[in-house]
Amino acid sequence: MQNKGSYVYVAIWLFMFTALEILLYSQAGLGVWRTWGLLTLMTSKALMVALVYMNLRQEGWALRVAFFAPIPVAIYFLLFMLYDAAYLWRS
Amino acid sequence: MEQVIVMEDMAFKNIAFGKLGIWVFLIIDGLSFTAILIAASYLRANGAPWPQPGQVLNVPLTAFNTFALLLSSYTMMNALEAVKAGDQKKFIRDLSWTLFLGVLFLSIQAFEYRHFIAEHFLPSSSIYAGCFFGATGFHGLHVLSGVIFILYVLIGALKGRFNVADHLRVETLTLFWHFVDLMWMLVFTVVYLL
Repeated sequence: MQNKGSYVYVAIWLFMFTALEILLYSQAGLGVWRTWGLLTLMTSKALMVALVYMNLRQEGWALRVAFFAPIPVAIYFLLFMLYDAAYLWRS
Repeated sequence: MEQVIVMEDMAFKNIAFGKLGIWVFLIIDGLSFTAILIAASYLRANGAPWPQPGQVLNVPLTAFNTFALLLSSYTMMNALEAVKAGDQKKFIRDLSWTLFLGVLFLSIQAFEYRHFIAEHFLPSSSIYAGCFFGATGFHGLHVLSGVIFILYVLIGALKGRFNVADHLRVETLTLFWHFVDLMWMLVFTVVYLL
């Protein structure tokens, strides 16, 4: 069982990160940094929820592996499929 | 009282079968969300007409909705802690708050959909509209399922069915609700902000 105070801290961090996301969203001039910033904040928030709220930090290693293993696979598929080679060759 | 079967295996650290079941479901469900978001990113990267962020969607309203869902995760956590501590009154109160925030989220989403339908922005309007309704609709169905699940647990709580020794169903509900919150973080960023 986690310290009850950590739930409050995580809630505060989640609120702050979301506010930061909304601030970053309006900064169109930042270009690619805006995209990377938003993706970093999104990943940080998701990790906080998974590890603290869903108690994944306290669970056994097998469950952690089962939860996190599909993420690199998803990134691989995203990078692999993001640009349709056939589409690019045609145009 | 429900029977709790525990996995006596070091890898799964004595996890209850019911909890392991919900974890397996969540991992598979997470992959469904990932597939939808990857498909949307693929279509966008390959030239599908895509408006600028905030041009079509109401970001401030959805940001408010995001804060409501974040708050509901916190109240759900408090509800679980309360049942573990044997505080029935706080458990019911926090669960009721979570239910209220879940219903608020769905109401705002329904309001947003109603506005889009009136503006003839439909799933068949464009690839972008299809991706938007696909991702947010799929998530909305999860929130709806979560609200029904909360209602079911709340009725049980009012009948005094959950206590310090017997609260596995509350734990599975908590996991599901946090998962719904987690998935919204991905949908909100990919669909609304990027």
